[in-house]
Amino acid sequence: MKTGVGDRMEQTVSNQVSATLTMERISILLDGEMDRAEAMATIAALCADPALRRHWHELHRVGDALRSHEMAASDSEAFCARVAAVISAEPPVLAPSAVRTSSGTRRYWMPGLAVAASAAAVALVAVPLMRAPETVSIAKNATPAQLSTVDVGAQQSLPTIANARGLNPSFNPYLAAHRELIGNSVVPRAAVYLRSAEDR
Amino acid sequence: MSDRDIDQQLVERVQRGDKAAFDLLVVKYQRKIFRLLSRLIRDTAEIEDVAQEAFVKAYRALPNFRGDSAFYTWLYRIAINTAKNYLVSQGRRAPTSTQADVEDAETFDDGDHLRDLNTPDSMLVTKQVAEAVNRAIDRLPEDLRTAIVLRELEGLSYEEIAESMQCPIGTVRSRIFRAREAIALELKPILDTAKDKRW
Amino acid sequence: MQAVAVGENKQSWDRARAFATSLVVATGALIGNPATAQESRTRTDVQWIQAVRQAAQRVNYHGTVVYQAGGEMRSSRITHMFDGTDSHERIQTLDGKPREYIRRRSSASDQVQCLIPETRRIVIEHRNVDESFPGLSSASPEEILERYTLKLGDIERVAGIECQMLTLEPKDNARYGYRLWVDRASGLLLRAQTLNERREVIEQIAFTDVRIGERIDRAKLRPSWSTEGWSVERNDYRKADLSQHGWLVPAPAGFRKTREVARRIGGSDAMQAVFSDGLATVSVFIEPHSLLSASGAGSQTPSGDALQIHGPTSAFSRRVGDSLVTVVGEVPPSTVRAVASSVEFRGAR
Repeated sequence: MKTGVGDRMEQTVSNQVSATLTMERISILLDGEMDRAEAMATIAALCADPALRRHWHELHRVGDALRSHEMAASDSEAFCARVAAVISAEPPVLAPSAVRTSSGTRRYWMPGLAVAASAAAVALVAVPLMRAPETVSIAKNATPAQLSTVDVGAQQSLPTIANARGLNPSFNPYLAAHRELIGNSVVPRAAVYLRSAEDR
Repeated sequence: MSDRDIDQQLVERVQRGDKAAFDLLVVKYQRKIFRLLSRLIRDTAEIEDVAQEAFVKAYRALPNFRGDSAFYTWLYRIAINTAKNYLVSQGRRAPTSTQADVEDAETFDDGDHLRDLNTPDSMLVTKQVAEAVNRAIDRLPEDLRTAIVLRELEGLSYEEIAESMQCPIGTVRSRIFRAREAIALELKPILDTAKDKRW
Repeated sequence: MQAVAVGENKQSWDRARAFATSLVVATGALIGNPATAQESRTRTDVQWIQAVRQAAQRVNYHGTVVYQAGGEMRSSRITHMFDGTDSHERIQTLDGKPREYIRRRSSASDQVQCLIPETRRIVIEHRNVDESFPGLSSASPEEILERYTLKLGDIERVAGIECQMLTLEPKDNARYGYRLWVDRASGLLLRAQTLNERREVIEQIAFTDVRIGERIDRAKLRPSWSTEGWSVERNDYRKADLSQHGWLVPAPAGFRKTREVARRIGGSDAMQAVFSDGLATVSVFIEPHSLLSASGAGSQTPSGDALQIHGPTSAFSRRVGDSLVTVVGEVPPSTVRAVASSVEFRGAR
């Protein structure tokens, strides 16, 4: 249950929110002279409020004008509006979730292990095919060294790859024509070519 | 938070779906890109078209930007490639001076001159802008003028300016801001009405 | 004097931020601490499909894939680059016969060059966006979700990268199901399986190593061989209307027609109707009077009930009068048989 004092304090803070998000904050951010926490909050406010973005633009215009009168004379607001209009019609950039690793950005395999990892992965993947159609539990057969370089995803319950009979080669020209007109699915495009790499 | 970190933050926001963050980057780098393109392309309308295409391509390719280089360096390369492709498509060759170094892109630029806009209206606006800027600068108290010039034309940091002017950083901050406000006020009527004249 | 002012500012800023955060919670808007907001952010099914598709076109990557189907396994090196407008791709087979596929895709067209070094040939496959079927060259995510149910699985690692596993379960038996492993950061698909009705894997493609989002050296997109003097082949096609030639080719349930073309198959005239449900594609080929000619492909195809299956692909041929109807697709054999059976000749108008 809030007290009257609490309410008033929130109101004060609310005024302060609007008071502090002023052009001065934007000016400091523009110069890259703000501490991280303030900068993040100011950026968030800018992204949320078109009026604040206009301030960002006006302040940038000052620097532009000081550096070059001709440059400033051309209409930057119209240009920025044009670009914004095109961008707004674009589908949004969609990354399911931007998980940052502790090292910041790099997240892929270590170059030194490349050859070993690929060879190991290929060797492990090959095994169940020889014993198709049963699923082979690779964990039992692999050495610890191999286990450490290959993913969990690759080593456990490797898929049974069924339908091993071949297609009559007289189907090849139909398959080529079919492939040509396959639209964009979700399964990687590479699979389409690799399905019958030998057939041409 | 450094300039580069700010750009990185904005890029990450765009990568998470925030288009407004991209607007902020466009405003920030529009002039630099125009200046870059003006070394390759003469006509202002063409520069605007190529610049627009470069920004849109950057937006689309943003999933590939990982912060290994500065955002502007990456944008710069896209702009150069876009300009080259444009010139090729027009049957024109880029001048050999396109081997502009990446280092060039990263140093603080001090305002090359864009080739003169050719219409009488735009020349008039240029003149008016020059007058407004000069008027605003002249009217500034000396400490504000020094602060803004050291920041915008010499590229000094707040700390460097504070040392040079022998005053606290907080003072530098507010002087720069007040100078910007004053100049923005002088420019506003010219740039805002000039916009209407163009149509 | 200055220090006090700074201190005051910081305090009020902290309070302001706390207030702003409480606003966030109340309105659900995304301001404030990005890291925690990220973890709890959920994606709709439609957004997952959009993200995977968009990443396939826009994310740069370079790595090794292993493709398996029908008792075979192939490793290939794959490079993909997006320049802001077009995407460029190169696939090099690392075992079996050497092959390279060089692809260039823009918003209006999609062209693949298949390089065959032992015969010094380049076969070009080309697909334009067909204006008469707008939006059907890729079905909308909503359409896909009418035929498949999307389910989220666990987080599993593929090629050293944490992926969200997704399944697309078919709502009927006319199509196969899929399991997808999607890089959580970029949306790139790193492993995909096609599953039959017994949930057996009939096709898999998976990265064993990959670098995502790096600048791609253009040299990686150029072919391994100089193709000077090689012969260039294209199998051209043009738009056609099968019904005008008297053919009725109904779309299988849950599929939509995306193309109708006339072309040549193995030396004889043919028509092709293409159907898609957004993930799988079925082609119906009609070669009129082919069984009368000695040189047509139809003369070599086993007559009668010829239903074959290899990996994810089913194929079936059937006579209709003296014409040959052939259906192929990455669908269960029952579907290609049903489609072939539904083809009728009504007579030319």
